[in-house]
Amino acid sequence: MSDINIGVFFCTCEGEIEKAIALDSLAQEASGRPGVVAVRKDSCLCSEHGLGAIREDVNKFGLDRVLVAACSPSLKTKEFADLGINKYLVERMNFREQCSQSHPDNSEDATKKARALLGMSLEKIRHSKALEPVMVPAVRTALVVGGGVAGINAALDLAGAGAEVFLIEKKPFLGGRVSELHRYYPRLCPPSCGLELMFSKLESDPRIHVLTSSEVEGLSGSPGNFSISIKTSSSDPTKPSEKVQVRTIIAGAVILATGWEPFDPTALTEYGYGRLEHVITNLDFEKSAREQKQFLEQQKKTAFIQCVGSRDERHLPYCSDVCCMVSIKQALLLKQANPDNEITIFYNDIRAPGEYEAMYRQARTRGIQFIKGIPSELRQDAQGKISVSVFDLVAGERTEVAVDQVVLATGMKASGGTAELKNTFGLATNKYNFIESHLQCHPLDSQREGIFSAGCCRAPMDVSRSIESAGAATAKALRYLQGEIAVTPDFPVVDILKCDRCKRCVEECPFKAYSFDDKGFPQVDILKCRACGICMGGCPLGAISLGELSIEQLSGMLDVLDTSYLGEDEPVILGFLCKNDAYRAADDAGAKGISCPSNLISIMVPCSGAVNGMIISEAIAKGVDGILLAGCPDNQCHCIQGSVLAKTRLADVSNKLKEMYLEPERVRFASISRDDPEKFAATVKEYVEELKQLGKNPLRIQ
Amino acid sequence: MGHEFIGGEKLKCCYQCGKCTSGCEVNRIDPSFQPHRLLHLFGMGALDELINGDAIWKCTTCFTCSERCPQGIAVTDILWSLRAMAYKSCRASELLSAQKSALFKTGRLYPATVLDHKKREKAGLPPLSEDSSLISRIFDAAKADG
Amino acid sequence: MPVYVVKDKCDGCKGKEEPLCEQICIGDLMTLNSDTGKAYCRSLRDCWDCMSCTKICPKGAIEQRIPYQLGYHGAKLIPMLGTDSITWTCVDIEGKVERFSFRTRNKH
Repeated sequence: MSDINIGVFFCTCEGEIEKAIALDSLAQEASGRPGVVAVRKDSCLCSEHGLGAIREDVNKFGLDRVLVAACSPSLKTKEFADLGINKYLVERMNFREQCSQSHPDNSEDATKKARALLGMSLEKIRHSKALEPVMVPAVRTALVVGGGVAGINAALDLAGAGAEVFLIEKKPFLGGRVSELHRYYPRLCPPSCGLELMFSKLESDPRIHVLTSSEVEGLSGSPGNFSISIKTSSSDPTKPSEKVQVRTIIAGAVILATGWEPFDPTALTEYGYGRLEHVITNLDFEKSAREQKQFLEQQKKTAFIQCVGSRDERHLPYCSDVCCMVSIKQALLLKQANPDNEITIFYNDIRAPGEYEAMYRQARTRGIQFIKGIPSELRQDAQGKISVSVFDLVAGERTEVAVDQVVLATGMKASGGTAELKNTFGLATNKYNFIESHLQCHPLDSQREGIFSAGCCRAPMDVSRSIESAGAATAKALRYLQGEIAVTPDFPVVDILKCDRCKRCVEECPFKAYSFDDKGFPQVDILKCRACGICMGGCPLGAISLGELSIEQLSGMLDVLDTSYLGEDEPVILGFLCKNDAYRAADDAGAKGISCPSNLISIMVPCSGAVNGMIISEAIAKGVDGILLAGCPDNQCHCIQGSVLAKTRLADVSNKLKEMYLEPERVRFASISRDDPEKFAATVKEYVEELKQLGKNPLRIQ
Repeated sequence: MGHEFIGGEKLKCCYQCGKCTSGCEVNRIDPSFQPHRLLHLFGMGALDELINGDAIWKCTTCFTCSERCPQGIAVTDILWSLRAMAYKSCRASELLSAQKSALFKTGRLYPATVLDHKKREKAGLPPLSEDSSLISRIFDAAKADG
Repeated sequence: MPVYVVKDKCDGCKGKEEPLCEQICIGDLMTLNSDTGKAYCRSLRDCWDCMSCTKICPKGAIEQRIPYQLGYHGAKLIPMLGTDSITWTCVDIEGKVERFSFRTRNKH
């Protein structure tokens, strides 16, 4: 492969790197390697002057590959992507954070490790390919499922951004749960006001097609080109079988806004819902307030009981977010309609976040009584009133009130519509049946590319937040609605000649991006793929490689790695660090001056699940003393199950080593969080010590 | 402290909603008996006050609190565990001592009332014997502690 | 040297149609037992000892029964496959361990 021209560029980083690594001597060695036609040392490669020098050399020497020895590859990515050569033909070597900064004490060791890195990178770069983003044509149409306040706003936002929108709703009318309310907070607006405005906007926008009495029957295809079949039944209840229409639409993205259902407190028999008259839920309250004027005006005593069914291990273990504010709102409405209305709210905690605190204060100053203590049961007394006997936790004594009505503040459950979608769309929901992918980092994604969630199908939330989430979901969906989607070329490629159709890749992909072609071979939908590499890690034949990291590259790097680069008696550890957490923690250790043994050479992988068991075996066979797989803690893995799979694969290799009378401790997994560089350094130190105890890998000499 | 007693795993989950005390029939009559307060003290490690006091002996084990606790805490079982701990530390309420003496002397936990005699007569049962020597012999034979 | 499938390690290659050992066996002897979901050799006496199944099994669930002429009960022959190399571990009846590594593919 000496017919490719390689240029090697060393940055001294204003002396920061050069103080620990003998760059001149390495530059000398590099220029002697086959294929290297240009070598340059500069004080600041990422500066305009430095980048300009590289571009000049690319031209002058006709470089096919560029090797940059500088800071961590997670930094300055934009700068080093613009060198006059395809950015995938540029290889970055981490000479700063994970070399000079991590091993400052002994600069000879830092240089030795840098030499080993140089050799591996020269080998890796030979196999690199020039890659371009793949442009996939996409339609500019979106589908919104659910015609409540979140769905309506998503449709309006999408149309505002230039997309054609299909808004479908199961019921014969739009408006969802908000249309069932009497007022909503914080301004105590009537829903008709807000909804009317939204409806008129919907009607006047020619890009929005509203289909009521319609449901999704099935979905197929990929983001950018989903094919969805919709069934519309007759909206006339007296003629149910007439005009059942099925149509297919093609949509680039889907926003789900399938809302919530109220919790039924009949199960809490102690409160007598359905048995005692005048015990109602908060939603019943809204209905009565809407339908009967005197419901609010007629003077009576009302008790509210909070957390009915919510924050309850036996029913809804989570907090339903809105019930405190709903009760405060309803109490204020009662007081507003008739100042002589007497209200007591029995609470566990009052949750009035942000500016809503002012409403809570207002409720107190208007004379609404708040008692901390949840009543155990409701009884009807001799006068037909409802007696609430409770232990007032703040006063420290029992108190009893006789009221005309009790409002149970019941919470929100995931809707039946959401449960149906799970099957139709193949979605993942969390244990409470709400749609969820990776809460912190991707709060609006389902686990399927191109499908987003808005409103209460994601989690209990109030009207303002539902509308807000609709806007956010729209912003995410726009990527798929530009008429063309640019797919980054880091997706996996399956070598059909090696593939034996064992189906592991199809099974293990957390984003269900694989399907079978007509011969039964796996094919990846590049639009659904998130390039985590779990398929590459699991293929028993090594038939899958990612665009940026291939099995051949890894194998080649292992070939050239000098396992005695620190000397005969020092163990060498190969570390596969996941790019989200572990690699950054390792960088951080260097940046913070936490010293780390130079025995570990790291390779950045998209996910710890991307490491193939055969590569690990090969590393052992080629004399590496220890292998470290470092990934995110299990429940934080961005690829859902990457860490879990990595551990399983490591266990298999470990077992094999045991059978071979080698030490199973030579392979291990560590959960390293992004913000835990100390743990990373400590893990490596501990590992080096243990490997010294175990002795050299017996296969090292061969 | 931790899982060494029945009900222990969930003790820390108590968020002091007060539903147990609100529904407690003993609290209705004796407001100083407050199950939520006992759980709070236990969770804070204030074992001495609990084991030396009278409170834990007042529970009638009606289980209303355990049934209705939203966190699924076995309140009754925890109070019972406290009784076991108290007994192991040789602390027992005077209430209990009084009951034990009565049991060993007369075979009854509380003295028979006029109502009890009347009910026995109505049911056709012979009157209660005043002779307690038989009772003592039974306990001796069983080698029960006095 | 007929094969022996360690049931605890075998996962039936996810229970789909053909497990890897069945696909690679040149004598068409390995297959999945539909009741247990684990692989087994249909006819031990016909096995030609190529050890392809042993090498390919991703869970390392296949072992060899070494005949007495070669090493008998205590002896082991274990392959470990890399992407371009293979490492053999040989254990004789006295427990002496020897290892041999070979390249199986030329440089890419």
